[in-house]
Amino acid sequence: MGTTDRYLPLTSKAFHILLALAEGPRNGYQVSARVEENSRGAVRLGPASQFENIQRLTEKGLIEEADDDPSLAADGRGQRFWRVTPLGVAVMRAEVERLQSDLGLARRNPMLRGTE
Amino acid sequence: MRVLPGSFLTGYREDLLAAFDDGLRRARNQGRAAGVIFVLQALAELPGVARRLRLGEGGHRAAGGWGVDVRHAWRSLRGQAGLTAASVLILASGVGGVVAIYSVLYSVVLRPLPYAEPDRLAVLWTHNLRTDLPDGTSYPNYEDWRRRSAAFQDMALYFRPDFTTVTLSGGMEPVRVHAGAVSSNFFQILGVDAVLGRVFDPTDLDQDAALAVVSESLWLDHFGASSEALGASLIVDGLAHRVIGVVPDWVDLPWPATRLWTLHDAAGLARGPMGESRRSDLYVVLGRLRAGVSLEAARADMGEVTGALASEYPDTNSELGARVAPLLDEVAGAEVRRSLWLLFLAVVLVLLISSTNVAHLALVRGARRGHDLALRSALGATRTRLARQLVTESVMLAIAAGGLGLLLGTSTVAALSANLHTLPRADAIGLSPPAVWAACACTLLASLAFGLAPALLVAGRAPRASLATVGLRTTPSDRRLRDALVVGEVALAVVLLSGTGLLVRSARSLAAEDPGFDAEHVLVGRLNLGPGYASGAERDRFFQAVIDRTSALPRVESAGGVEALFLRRIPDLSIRRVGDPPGQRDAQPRLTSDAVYPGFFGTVGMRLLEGRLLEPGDAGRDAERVAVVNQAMAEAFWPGEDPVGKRFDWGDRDGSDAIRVVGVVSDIRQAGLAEPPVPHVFTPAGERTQWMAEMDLVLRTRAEPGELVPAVRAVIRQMDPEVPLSQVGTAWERYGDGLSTSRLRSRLLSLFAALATALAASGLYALLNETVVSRRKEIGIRMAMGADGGRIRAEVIRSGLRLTASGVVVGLLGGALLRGLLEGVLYGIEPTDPITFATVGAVLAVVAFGASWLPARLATSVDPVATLTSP
Repeated sequence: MGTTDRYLPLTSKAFHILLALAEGPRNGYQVSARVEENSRGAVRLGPASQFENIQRLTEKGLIEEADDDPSLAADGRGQRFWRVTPLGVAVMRAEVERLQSDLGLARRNPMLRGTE
Repeated sequence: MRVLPGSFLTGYREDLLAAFDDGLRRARNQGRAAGVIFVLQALAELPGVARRLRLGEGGHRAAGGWGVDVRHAWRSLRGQAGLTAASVLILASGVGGVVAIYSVLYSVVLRPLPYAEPDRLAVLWTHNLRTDLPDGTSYPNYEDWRRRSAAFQDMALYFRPDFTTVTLSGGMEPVRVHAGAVSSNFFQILGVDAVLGRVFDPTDLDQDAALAVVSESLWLDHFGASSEALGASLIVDGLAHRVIGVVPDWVDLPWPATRLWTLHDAAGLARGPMGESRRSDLYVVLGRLRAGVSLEAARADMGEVTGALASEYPDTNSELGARVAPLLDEVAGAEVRRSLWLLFLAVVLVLLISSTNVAHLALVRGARRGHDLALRSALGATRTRLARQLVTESVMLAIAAGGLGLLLGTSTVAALSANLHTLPRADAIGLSPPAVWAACACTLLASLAFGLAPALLVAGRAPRASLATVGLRTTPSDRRLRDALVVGEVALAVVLLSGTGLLVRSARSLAAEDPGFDAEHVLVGRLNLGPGYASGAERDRFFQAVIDRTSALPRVESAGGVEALFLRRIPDLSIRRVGDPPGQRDAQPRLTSDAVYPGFFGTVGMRLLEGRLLEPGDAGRDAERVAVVNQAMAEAFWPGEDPVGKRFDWGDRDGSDAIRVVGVVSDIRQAGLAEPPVPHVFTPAGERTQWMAEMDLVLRTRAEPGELVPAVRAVIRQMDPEVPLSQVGTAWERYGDGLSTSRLRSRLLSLFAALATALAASGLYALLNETVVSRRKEIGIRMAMGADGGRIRAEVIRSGLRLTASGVVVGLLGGALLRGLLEGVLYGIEPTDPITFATVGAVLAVVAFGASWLPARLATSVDPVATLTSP
């Protein structure tokens, strides 16, 4: 998967944002709430770092604004919604594969055997 | 949120705020503390995010802030510490000179006068159209000027005595202070208010008491700054005056350091029994122009006024015009102004020369770093980036040099201050904001001159060309710039050197003039007898006794007395030779005169040329009236004859009791070395010289004159403690007051010229040396091919001399501009003096020869193989 390799590995924040958006379009606050929930509080996104990551992912083309969906029309506070692009989904898959193979390596490691 | 980059905020501001709101709301649901923590966390992450966002934006801009430039520049300047230090020092010496001289120029010449609307103040002199000299004005003429002039809002006057000091006495050691006798509207014209009490007003003239206004310093010294000073009595030359007010110390009119002003009733005097001729010259007039009236208009207006007066009073006013000068010019003085501008021009030239030198050093630095810059350019640094870094370097250099220059300049002013106190308005000389601005301005200009050009040159070069020429170190455009620098530097040096050469030669020819006296080891002090000495006989007895007693002091060789030693007077006396018809005096030269006590001639070393000197018996009441005349007088009135035995009398009197000339003495240049001697008559001082209440005591000493001052003072105090001895100093100090400016000027100019020569010579050497070094490879190749070392040397030297010659030609053309400035300053030498210019040319030729010969010899003496294989 040559095209996705250059985006890997993802930072944990990027991974969790992509994961949250893969469930459906969300606005900034919804993303950070979901990320915190998914990671059980391990990944926290303040507003600034949240949009820093959103900007970076948008620039890379992994996510995009969901402004063509009338059901997600701005709520009057100018909030926008984001969703994962097909490239973003592909990068997610590749990242999950990479993580799985890393995980397999770790599981086969004699010193770490037995780790869940 | 401002810490975040603007581009990011434009994209996400709304979302960010909304997410913050929502996040805060959710956190608050979990409790107040959670809300606070949320806010703190949100704030804490800002700097990191901001930094990461900036790093992310456009990659290498991150490495391009000014901070980085400054760090790079510092590293590069430190890497070439020698060159950097040389550049800073050279430039600082140039800036320092400008700061020093500009401080003086500003304080003395440019600084506005402290009075209200000083531009509207002017001094008016009577202009004697026959002699073309300025002169004082009579009260009747002043009245008419004041009434008729349309250009002036009002005029005031002050009395113009020979001596501007008065004795303050009464309950203290008598002191002499500078005082002005002024008209009642004097302070109103200047726009000066009293800090305590009041200034004069016109009704004061009706009062019986004599009134005085004092300066703050006198108020402090004399009255301890107490408000009781108002109404207190002050004994001025023996007359009680009532103090009515205190004015600030900066009021330095009529003369510098005036500490006391008395009210002068010119109108009363003019109406008095003596009356006053329109010919008299007792007053100087101060005028305030109407708003918006130019000086030219005022001059035209006064021309009409004096023209009308000339036709109304042809007997007295036919030869009298008016001269109107801005007060500022009058205070600073033409001579001083010209000298300071000249010095300023000199330091600007020095600065230009040092800038050229530093420009060259910048080129050398650029050349040495050519490879480094080319490499960075090849790696993607843009030309603007490289130029910006070079500019940063020169700005840093300039700031260092400017700061150091400012320090140098200030300490120079401090060091010079002992020499500067004779200048007008010298009290305020020091580092002023304008001088700091001058330092900034010239540093900026210089850094532009030396920094930008080479920076653009280096940055404008195609990287590959630069990489390819690394071994050769210079490109043709470098060489052209360098040649231009050599020519420019030589030209500037020629201008400065020739100007200085002229002034030094002028000072020499001035010093070579015989002043007509021998002033070494002569002490002078002025005695002033108050009203206690009512008769001429009493005064004569006192003066004679002082001379006798002081001449008996140990280490005193001889003593004498004179009315006024070396006083600069406008010759205004006339005589009539016995046998001449009356009414001829207007056609004859005017003269000056002094009454002297016999020991005077020997004490100041005047030489007797014919006849005899004055003797004690000459002054007796019944003795024949006799006089000794100077050579100029003998030549003017008895050309080709022996003046001894000839007789004359003052004014237009007939010769029934005429004065007989008994001797001729050598001329003394009373008014300064540059002024030709004036016909002068010495008469014996004694009982008959009733008017003589002051005398200059002159002593020839066998020790340093200063060592005898206490003994002389003791003698006088013993005779009468009320008599002050003032203006004590050596005869040279007394004589040299005017000379000191010209001496200081030529000394300073010589210093600057020496600095400029050293800078120009080293600059020339460095430039020519670099030229040869840059051709090392080429010379190596030619030597390897069998070229003759001698021929190459000759070629290098020729090219050096050719550049120098072009510079000399340019410099001589530029020097022609100096002519206007130097005219009137030079004495006994023409501004085109060929010897000076030839010397300057020769000096520079020698420097240029040395500067090209040495590197040429080095280049040809090196093993060609070594040269070729070196990088």
